[in-house]
Amino acid sequence: MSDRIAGITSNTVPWEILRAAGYTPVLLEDEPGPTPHADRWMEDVFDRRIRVIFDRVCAGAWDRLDKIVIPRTSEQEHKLYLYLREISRKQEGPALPDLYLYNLLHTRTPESHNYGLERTRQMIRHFEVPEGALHDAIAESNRARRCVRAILQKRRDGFLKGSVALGLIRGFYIEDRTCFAERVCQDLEGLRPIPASGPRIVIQGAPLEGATLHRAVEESGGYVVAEDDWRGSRAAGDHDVRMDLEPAIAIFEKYFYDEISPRIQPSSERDAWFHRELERGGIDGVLFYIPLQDDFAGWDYPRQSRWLEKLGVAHAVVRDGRNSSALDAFVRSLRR
Amino acid sequence: MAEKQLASTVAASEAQKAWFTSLRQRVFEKRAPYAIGQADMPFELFQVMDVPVVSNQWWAAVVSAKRLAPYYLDKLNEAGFHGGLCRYCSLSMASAVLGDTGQAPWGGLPKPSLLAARLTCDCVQRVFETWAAHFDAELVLLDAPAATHLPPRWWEQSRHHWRELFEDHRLQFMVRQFERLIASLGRISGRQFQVDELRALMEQVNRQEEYFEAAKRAICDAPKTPVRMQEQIINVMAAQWQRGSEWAVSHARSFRDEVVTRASNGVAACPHERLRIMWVGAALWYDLDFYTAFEESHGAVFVWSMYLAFGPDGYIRYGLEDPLLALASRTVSMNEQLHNPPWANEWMVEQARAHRIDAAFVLTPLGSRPSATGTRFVEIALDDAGIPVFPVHADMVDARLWDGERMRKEGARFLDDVVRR
Repeated sequence: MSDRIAGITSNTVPWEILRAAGYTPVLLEDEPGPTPHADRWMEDVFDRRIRVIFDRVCAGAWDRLDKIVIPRTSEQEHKLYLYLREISRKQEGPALPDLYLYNLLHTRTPESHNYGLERTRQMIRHFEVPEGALHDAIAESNRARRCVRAILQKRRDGFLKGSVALGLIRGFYIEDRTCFAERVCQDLEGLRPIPASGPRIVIQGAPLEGATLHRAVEESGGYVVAEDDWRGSRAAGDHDVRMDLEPAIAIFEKYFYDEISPRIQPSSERDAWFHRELERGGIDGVLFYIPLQDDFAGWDYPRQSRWLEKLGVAHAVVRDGRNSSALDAFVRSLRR
Repeated sequence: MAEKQLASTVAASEAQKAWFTSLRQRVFEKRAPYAIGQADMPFELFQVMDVPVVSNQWWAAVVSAKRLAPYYLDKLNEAGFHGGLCRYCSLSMASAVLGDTGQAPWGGLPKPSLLAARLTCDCVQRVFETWAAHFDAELVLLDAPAATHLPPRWWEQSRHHWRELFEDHRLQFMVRQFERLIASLGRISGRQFQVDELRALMEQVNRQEEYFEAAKRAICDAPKTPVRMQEQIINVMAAQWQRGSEWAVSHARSFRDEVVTRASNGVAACPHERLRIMWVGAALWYDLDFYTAFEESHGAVFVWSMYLAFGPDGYIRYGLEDPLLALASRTVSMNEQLHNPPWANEWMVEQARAHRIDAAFVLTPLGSRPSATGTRFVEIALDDAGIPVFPVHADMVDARLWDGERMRKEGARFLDDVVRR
């Protein structure tokens, strides 16, 4: 493992470029505790995880980070970048790690494609990636992606609870991907089917805060078979990074076409995974996780729920991830 | 709202209503195309392509000022959109597609041919896509790459050195998107884009903003402001939505003349002005009387909002050899300039000093995320510059969240402290 650590804020930071440049990319995660710096500088519209990242970086608590790489994948990350830049400029508190913004856009237009590809080439130049190193990094990352898909398949086949699957997938973002792949292969070998699993549920909506909602569903007797979330079913995407293309193009197209972002446009592209997942069949219900702090999933919900009604799939909305009587009643209503 | 002191204000209000009435007539009687666009779209392109455009934010302000926002926002929630979603950008949509759309102001929005927005948040494309689908209208969305070059004092570079300031890759990208927008406008209007027409319009926009700058200077220099903030807003925004048009330039000149004359003659909007107040954020459209509520008790007059000041600093572009590129530079960074660190906070402090501001009321919008961010940085920067800050947590269109009486009491207590300092 490399000594240099790059903190990343979500799924669309090109892991392969950082790895090829000699960094170990690590997802910056939520952690318990107060956030005084965030409370001072950030408005309430920011999610807890983004607040924690801002807070810990400002406090110098994550001084192991040599760099922080932020993609233009959500507005919260964009603002996080601007806020950290400003704190750095004001020189309040300890020196911040170097910040880097990956200007990846998500409107599926030819202009955004060309723009994003050029930004990807630029990132490769900025990080002075040695020629040839990208191929090795792509191969390493692809192995890990296949392991994530193996986790998802085991869950689909009834061998893994959703909460456990999420825990395993977490390693994809925070571990060395070679170690992750080896460990997961071993972990998956000895699994046995879960007896009498309950109704099969897909979770849709706003980004999840860990596995709290999954556990609540499981306590009510449900089985979360998939979630439209980059820390779960969407982590590896549908495809590997292609090895038969110029690496910059292959990496860019992977992050442009095969990742999740609230900024993907049009909605048919945003909904594509969800539709495929439901059309496979075997889903008893959809649980929408839409807290009132959400600013985008709530706009998609009426359209998505109308589509589910046409399909005849039961669905419900929860505003927080904890167990509640409404959640419990919904899951029990789906009992097979 | 308090009485209109300027003839320009009366003219601006009447012109806006007449423009909208004429638009409705043209759309209904002659099936003329028109568009609805976010406020930060390049309205100049719509003008040269002869497609009238209604600003989403302007219409939301009109709906809110007519006290109709609660009705339409309730309808939005009843339709399954939860109560925490953004309201400033969705109220116009709600008024056009939900409930009794006929009770919207002035007969309501007719069916548009085109909806267009720039993606400065994660939600606006959803609002516009929902809207476009309802009317089966064309939809053009412009993506928004982040700025990574943010040097200090942007307003000193934006007029002459905009090529360097706004990053070539962002400008070129915006121009490519403009070309897609122009193609769409051409399909709708049947007009051919002429770059010389755009250049001429951009030159006229510069004239217009120069008039606004002269008015702004008169406000800065006068011992007491010759024009209240609310009247500034009405005059400026009526012209900005039609910027560069003959009427808009002429109106900006009339406004400048009236403000300068009032200042020269020592006419004050509030003769007993003792405190000069700055309003940071969009206006509270449903309670514009709030801005005169402290004149009697404290001699506190709102003299500044972003609307007038941003005209010259944000819009003027000299060096129009490539007018599309210059227009791109006007469009790409509005969000950074008005709402985000470092540019917004730095500019606000500069404005406060130039206008001899005694205290600032800073809005943190409860129902509009793009303009909610950056407000802490603005508050802290103003406070560091010695300007007391009164934070206002409210929505600019949603009167359901506003307790005007309580806010007047709290504002008065804050001003008591300012006076005592």
